[in-house]
Amino acid sequence: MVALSFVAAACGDDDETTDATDAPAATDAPDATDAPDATDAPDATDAPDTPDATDAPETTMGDMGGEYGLIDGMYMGAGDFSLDPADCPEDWDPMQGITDDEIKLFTSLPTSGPLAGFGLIADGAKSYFQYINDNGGIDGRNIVVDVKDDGYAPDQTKTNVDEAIGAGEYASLFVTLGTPNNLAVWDTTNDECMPHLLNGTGAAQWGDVENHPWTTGMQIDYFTEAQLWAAWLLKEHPDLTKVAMITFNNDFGKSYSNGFKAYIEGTDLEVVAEELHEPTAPNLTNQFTSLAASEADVLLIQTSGAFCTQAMGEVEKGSWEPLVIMSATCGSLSQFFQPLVDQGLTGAGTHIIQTFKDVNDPAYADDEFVQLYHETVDAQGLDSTQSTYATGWIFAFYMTEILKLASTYEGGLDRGNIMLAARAIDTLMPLLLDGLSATMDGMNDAYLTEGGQMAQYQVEDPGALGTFVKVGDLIDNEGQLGTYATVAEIG
Amino acid sequence: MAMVTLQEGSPKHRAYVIGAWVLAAAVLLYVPFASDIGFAPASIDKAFRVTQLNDVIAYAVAILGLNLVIGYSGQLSLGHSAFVGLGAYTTIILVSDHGWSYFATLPISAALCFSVGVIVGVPALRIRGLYLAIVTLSVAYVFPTLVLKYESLTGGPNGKKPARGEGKLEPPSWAPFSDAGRLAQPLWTYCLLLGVAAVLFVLARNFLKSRPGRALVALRDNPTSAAINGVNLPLYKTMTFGVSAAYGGIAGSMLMMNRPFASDVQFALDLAIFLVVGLVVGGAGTISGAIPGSLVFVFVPYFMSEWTNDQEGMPPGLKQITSPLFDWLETRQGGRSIAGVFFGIGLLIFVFLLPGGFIDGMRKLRARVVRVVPNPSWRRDAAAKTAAPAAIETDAAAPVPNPTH
Repeated sequence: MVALSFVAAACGDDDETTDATDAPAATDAPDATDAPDATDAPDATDAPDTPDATDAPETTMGDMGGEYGLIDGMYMGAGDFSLDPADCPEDWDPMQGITDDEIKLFTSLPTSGPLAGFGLIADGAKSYFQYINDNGGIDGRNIVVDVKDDGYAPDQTKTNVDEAIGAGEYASLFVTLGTPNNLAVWDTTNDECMPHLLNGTGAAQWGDVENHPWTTGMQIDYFTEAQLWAAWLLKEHPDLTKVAMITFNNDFGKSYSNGFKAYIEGTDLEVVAEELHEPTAPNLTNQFTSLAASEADVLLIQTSGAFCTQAMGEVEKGSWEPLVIMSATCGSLSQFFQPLVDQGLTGAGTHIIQTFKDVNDPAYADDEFVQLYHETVDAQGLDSTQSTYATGWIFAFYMTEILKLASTYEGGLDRGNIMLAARAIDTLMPLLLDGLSATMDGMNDAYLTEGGQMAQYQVEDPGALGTFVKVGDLIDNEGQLGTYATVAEIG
Repeated sequence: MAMVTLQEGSPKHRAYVIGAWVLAAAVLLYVPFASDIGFAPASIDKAFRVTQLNDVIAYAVAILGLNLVIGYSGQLSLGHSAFVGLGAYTTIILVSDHGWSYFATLPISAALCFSVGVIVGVPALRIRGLYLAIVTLSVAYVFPTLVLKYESLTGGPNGKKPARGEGKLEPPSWAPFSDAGRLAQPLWTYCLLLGVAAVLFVLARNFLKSRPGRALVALRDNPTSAAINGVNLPLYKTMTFGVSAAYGGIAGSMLMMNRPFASDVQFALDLAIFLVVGLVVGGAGTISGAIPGSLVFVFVPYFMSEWTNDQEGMPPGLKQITSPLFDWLETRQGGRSIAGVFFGIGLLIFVFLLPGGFIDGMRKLRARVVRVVPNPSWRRDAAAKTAAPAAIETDAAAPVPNPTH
């Protein structure tokens, strides 16, 4: 979870600020241990089965190979999703990057510069693919990933992706990192019919199946995250109705704002105050003076980076005592809560949505997949407590499932079928919080995960970091958002 | 001692100069035909490599512009990323939102950047050296913030690009490479950028060889004596900033012709610093230095990062030497950041080996092979009268060779 929030934080961060130093560093391994869910240990027997690379994936679509795939010259997929190879460039090769013993993937992410920490996602993904390859690969094909560094600069991402497309060696892109970075390339990838899968960012745009059928995301999007907040508030705190927002004045912040407002229409919840702030704001004091005057019951912190810390600090110092919900991009304890501790504050009581298990959480020590992760990664000479590797495993897991599913389609494994499979997977990722699901359904559901668990930050010793504790039930809005068209309509 | 001595203006010297130009032109003009001919060293028949060459051409123009200010007029400017960015955004906004053609935006970029450059040059009238550097640095610092501030115009953090499928530079049908598939567009851009750059280089050369150019150098070497000799210091200082900024702006527009996408990070402080690095590597105070400077700027970080992620493409010797290091780094978290360290070390070594920059180094090397003897006009007259130029060509007591551009 924390590892994933790293990704989210990076995307969020860069969405709002040019101050790269705010971004979490991946060498921050202790973070991962910061957020154990000690109070709610899951029963180990409930844990999902360890995926066995040689087994067929547990998918609903997996045994429907006859229905989907390349049929009469058209790629026909689940949920009325189809692709016409005639729309692709003349030299489009469905078998590009796929040979009898290899499947070549490409990713562009920062492996140098201030955000180099996210490069570890690629190492984590390679680690999982290594594990899959050691266990027979995808029908004997090894998965190979080529990584290029973009230093988190969108123009460099574009350069890298253009080069990769021009090289004509890759079957698919995967886990390309950053919102602006992916926006810079998605027109090209779609024009070139290059599968552009599992983007490492939480922007809602990756569900734009109508206009960008070749692009998909992976993590929960900011729009949905805000809707989970609303759902949770309505259920757990029906008495709290007045909501105040502090919002980053850009796409990222407004995504939260729009998602929340869209969900609360017709409910008792009401936004009574919203303050925007610019990425250059030195502090949020003015905004909080106005917000506190509204005497709202709930405060939504729809920002990222150092602003999260400032916002929590403002609440704690003032006399206004709202219930606080904060962007999951600020989930890193050492990054965003430690500075509060240093100021004699705590941030206690702040709520955050979590989606994935923390591999370092003692509560999951018996989880089979968590054990497999630690054993495999350690055996490969990497440090498995670095939770960004686990994030890499999550991305690679989905990629592997997509490839397995595509192999079952009519016409076998090719790039068109990979794209169909990416929009049809329905596989339980073992690191997902128990009870959540991950489903794509063509034109009906373009978002993989749309659920999460609200957790509250609790502190026992004010001089030290506390932990996140689950509050309320898991909320799963799976399939409700549909596609980006829904989001675009709302604004 | 040089192996060959040439007298300036002699037929042999002319042949030498023309030969060098023809060779350079042949190399540049070979690129579009490489894939047809079938001989393509360094993958110059690949679209991405041609795109990189286009970057080299554009950045060469930016470095040339910077050289006018730093190398010739001796004023330290660290704000050039802002001018390149301003030019780039001018072009991309006009093309994306107003349907202009790329070429039509070039004069607008140049004029806009010239005006802003003149304004930025005004502080140079009162302050010098490091203080001026700080003023210009603030320009570089502010530019990305402005891009984010005026999001509706610039696209903000998501960057600015033409609508899907638009804003492409399609080659005309008569171009020999119009049917070259993926290569066609980069090659056409290459030809266009090469043309623009050639004009700008010739203009800069003529400018510097003329009276204003000499005034600039005088201003750099000794402002007081320049003023005494009638050089209008305020005018020249601000005009140099303006012209230099215009070059930067055109470079930005050229970058957009090559890759129609602008983002704030692309024109941040790093670019300002790296342009100065490119300038120093190529050689301050030289026109041609912009080319090696730009090559280093584009290719060295590229290959550093390429090789740290995948050692396959490394030259054989280097691969053997570095493989233990990379094996060790393989399991180290963030080990790939080493690319930046290599770049730093490479620059250090470079500065020690070629303190005057690449062009200076090449000239020293050339001086060991070819010596060009100047031909003062009185001697030329004398030579014409006596019709014995050969005697001078082998004159051992000839003056110290004078390197020419």
